[in-house]
Amino acid sequence: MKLSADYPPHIRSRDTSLSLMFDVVVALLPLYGLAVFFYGPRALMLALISAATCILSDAACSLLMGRGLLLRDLSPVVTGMIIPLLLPASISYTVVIIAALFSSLVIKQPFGGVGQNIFNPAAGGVAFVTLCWPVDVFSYPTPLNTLPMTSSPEVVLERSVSYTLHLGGRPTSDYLDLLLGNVPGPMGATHILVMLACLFYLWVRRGAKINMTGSFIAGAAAWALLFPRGSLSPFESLCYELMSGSLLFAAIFLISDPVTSPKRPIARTLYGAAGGLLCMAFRSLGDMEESVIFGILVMNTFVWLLDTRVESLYHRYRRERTHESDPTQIPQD
Amino acid sequence: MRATLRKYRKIRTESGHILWNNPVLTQGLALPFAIAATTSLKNGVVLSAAMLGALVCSALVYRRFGARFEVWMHPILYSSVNLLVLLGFMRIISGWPAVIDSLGIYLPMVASNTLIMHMASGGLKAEGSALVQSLRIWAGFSFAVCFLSALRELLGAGTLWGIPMGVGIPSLSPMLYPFGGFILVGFVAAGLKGLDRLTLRILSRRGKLKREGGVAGE
Repeated sequence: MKLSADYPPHIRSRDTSLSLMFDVVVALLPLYGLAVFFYGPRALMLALISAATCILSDAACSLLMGRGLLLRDLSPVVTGMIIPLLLPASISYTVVIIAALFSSLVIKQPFGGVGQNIFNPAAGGVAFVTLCWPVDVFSYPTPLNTLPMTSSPEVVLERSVSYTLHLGGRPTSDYLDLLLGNVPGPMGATHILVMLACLFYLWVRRGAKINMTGSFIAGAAAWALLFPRGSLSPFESLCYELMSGSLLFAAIFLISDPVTSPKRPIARTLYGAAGGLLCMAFRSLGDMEESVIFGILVMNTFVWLLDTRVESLYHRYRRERTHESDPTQIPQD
Repeated sequence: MRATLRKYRKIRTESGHILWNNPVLTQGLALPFAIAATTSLKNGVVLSAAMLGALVCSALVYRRFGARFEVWMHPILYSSVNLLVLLGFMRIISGWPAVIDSLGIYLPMVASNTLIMHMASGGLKAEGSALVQSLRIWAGFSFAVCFLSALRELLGAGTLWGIPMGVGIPSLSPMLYPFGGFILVGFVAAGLKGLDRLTLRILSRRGKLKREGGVAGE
């Protein structure tokens, strides 16, 4: 039997890599619409700059490696669109450009480009700028204030719900504001209701693996219920933890990245649950108020291990079943 | 053009331990120093000086006592002698407490690092004088460590030897963390390899074109 190895994403349906990425771009558009509504056209400018940087750096790397321009999918556009959504709308353009460059030149291309990266490029880029400029990354403008196109010191910046939770306090924002995204936070990660609609769209279009996203949220919810921070009750802890920061955004757009996630459903479920628990552990025990992206990056390193272990268990199970049904047949795996 | 290619290959072989066969960037020896300890140029220079003492001392010990001891005893012998040398060295640089604190465990570790172990396990026996070989290895180590230190200090803190450079580049503090060191070591190693390949390709192609032109002309 001739087996041919191919790079991820491994797609079994009629969808192509291009259609998969296109669905993600479509799912990200409403979030940009809301970002423009809450913070003005600066949000759109951040997206354009980030996407252009990702496309140009990807193209430059492809040419440098003598591969010619590879435009087989929209992955640099997706990376470029995700990066600003995880940052405040007031962030400087330089920070966004550095995040986009890091995601492409360090996280993606050195490993071989599309489909061969170990880490999620957008998470890697955002993690890098978070370590470089934590104050800028964790200071958010007030929603429903149109920001000037250039960086201005006159913009009033606030801390997010995650910061209050990190200090062990009780957030003052009500649940409706949290659901609608009318709270200071990353410009695309606070709109809970719209993100749930995006998840539904991606699920219908088979762009999101619901077992991975579901188990990620379940893992995070279990941690929030078991270990509430400060004086919060388990129910309050559950609501605030799930609806603050970029946890839900990571569950929908980062953890279910088809390139950096396991192949088998059982491995995906385990991966998602462990990711949720790890992200919450980082949040509760770490130094930073928002460290979900670091949890995602750590989980990315376990994909290979999960794939090999689950695959070997699966093959052993198949061998045993074949042997039970027909003891004379020699199993061929 | 063939002569140029030959000349380049000769330079490449002669400068082996400094660039193309660098002990740190190509062979992956003494990597912990390059990754964790090279956070400032001062650290790089101090590490380089410590390594000079350790390698020269190892070469002298090899020359004087190498034949009298079994090969398996060489690592113990070299490490013990180097430790004494490093104690003296640390006394000399005691006026730089900040550098000693910054280097932490990595300064005493020079006594028994992988470069020393490589030499102790037969690396010096290949050819030529032991002293010359250890100086070549040291030159390669120093180049890698000082270059990485300078780059990391410049990118991470915007200074060089503690002096603000004011070059207008944003300060990327993660470059001072070990993962920043890993990334830079990888990129510098890949850059060296890429430069070597590019030079060889250009020289070979020019030579080929010239030969083909010559044949066509004939």
